[in-house]
Amino acid sequence: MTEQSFSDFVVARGHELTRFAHLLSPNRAEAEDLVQDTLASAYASWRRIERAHSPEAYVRRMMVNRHISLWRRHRNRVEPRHLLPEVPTADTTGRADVSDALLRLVRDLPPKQRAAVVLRYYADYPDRDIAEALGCSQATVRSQISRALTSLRDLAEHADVVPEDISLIKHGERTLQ
Amino acid sequence: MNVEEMLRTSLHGEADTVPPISDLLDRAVGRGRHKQRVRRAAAVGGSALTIAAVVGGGLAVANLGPDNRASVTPNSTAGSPTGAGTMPWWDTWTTGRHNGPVDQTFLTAAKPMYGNESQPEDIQTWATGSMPDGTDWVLFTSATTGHALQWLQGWNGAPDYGESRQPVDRGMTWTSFESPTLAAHNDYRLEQQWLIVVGQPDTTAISYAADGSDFTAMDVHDGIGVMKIDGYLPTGARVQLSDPSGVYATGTPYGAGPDPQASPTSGSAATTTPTASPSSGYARAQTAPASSGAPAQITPTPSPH
Repeated sequence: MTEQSFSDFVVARGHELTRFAHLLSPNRAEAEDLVQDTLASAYASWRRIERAHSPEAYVRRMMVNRHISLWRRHRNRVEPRHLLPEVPTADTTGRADVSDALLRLVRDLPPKQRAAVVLRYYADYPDRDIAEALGCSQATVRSQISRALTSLRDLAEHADVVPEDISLIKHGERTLQ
Repeated sequence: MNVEEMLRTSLHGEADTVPPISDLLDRAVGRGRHKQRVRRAAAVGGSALTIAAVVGGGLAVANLGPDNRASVTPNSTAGSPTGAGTMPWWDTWTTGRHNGPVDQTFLTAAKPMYGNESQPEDIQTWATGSMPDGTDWVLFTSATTGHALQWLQGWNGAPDYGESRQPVDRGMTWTSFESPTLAAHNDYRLEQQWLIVVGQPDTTAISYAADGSDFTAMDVHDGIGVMKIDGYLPTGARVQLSDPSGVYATGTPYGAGPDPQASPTSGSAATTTPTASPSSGYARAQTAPASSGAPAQITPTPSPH
């Protein structure tokens, strides 16, 4: 166990992994738990992980698996999400309505679809790496993302966003400043 | 800008609002060391099996020390309702709805690797299956963990690396609706279940008798016996464990009693109640004591820290 190597990794990539966890998980507390638990598991297996081609990709995969596992375990739990305080987001450009609506819709996707979306559109993973992270084929990745985008458009129709923004999301015509 | 670019911009914007966790390294290392201790405990031969069995007739119990050698404690201690590390213990795992074929890729990926090993260890699988939602599971032992029976689940051919190896006992954090345990599935009509008996490491034979007298040999390896049985363990069920010197223990397996589905008001069968674990927040099933005169009970004790 090369503890220094693990420390270096967390110092260098810890915040990025926290950001990633936040996008995977529906609320901040769960996201913090997710990244801490994942790194704890990584610590316990670091000797093996540091030999991986990309330790960060390996840890991201652990995180995705763990996130989906937790979701499976708790999917019958009622989430009083409407009671949770909204995390304020600075609106500096007037684009918050569209962006917030889109993010709400992403959070309502099934976890695997959400993970696929985050890996592609946030982490910029190619399909091959997403497939590896999710433990499925590239074709499955493409269908997951396609389904997610369809869901986003469908959800947008019923979401609490202004009609103009729904239309813009659906047709991708809005230019964000 | 199309919807994909909007998505990308929104996700990055959202990520930018996330503050760093100031003590992330300390927390990760702290939790990681705890996980390591648990694994190390399992690797030295079952001391992480935090289970005590209480059996009417009393059983020889073996405490496994760090050198992986068993030391037999007097039978008189076997009646204690607690006692971390006491063995043998047993438990039952249901199959029923979880009896689907297991993914061979998952089994291959389930092989553990410890320390300086250059390749994964072969595993001895005891029970495998898959659930309707696609989750694969396996109960196994490996050379390093030796006597400790472990549970692993995953899907799409990949184990859950986040919470993978863990000894199977009443303290396991995996006791959720996904785990194929009686505790987790008492709402369903049970058709078959695994009876798994963990004896002393030098156990040579384990037998099971549904009626308490007509014993059938179980498949035994490394002191662990496994048998698939139909329905619930009947009230008179008995198991018998032998080592080279002969029978060293006979007792009633945990959970034996009237079929709770046939007689839901029966007071003699152990019942389970999902409760929240204050440490993790995850649902965990705990075994509530049965009424007096009930068969063996297993009391969870804390995992090693």
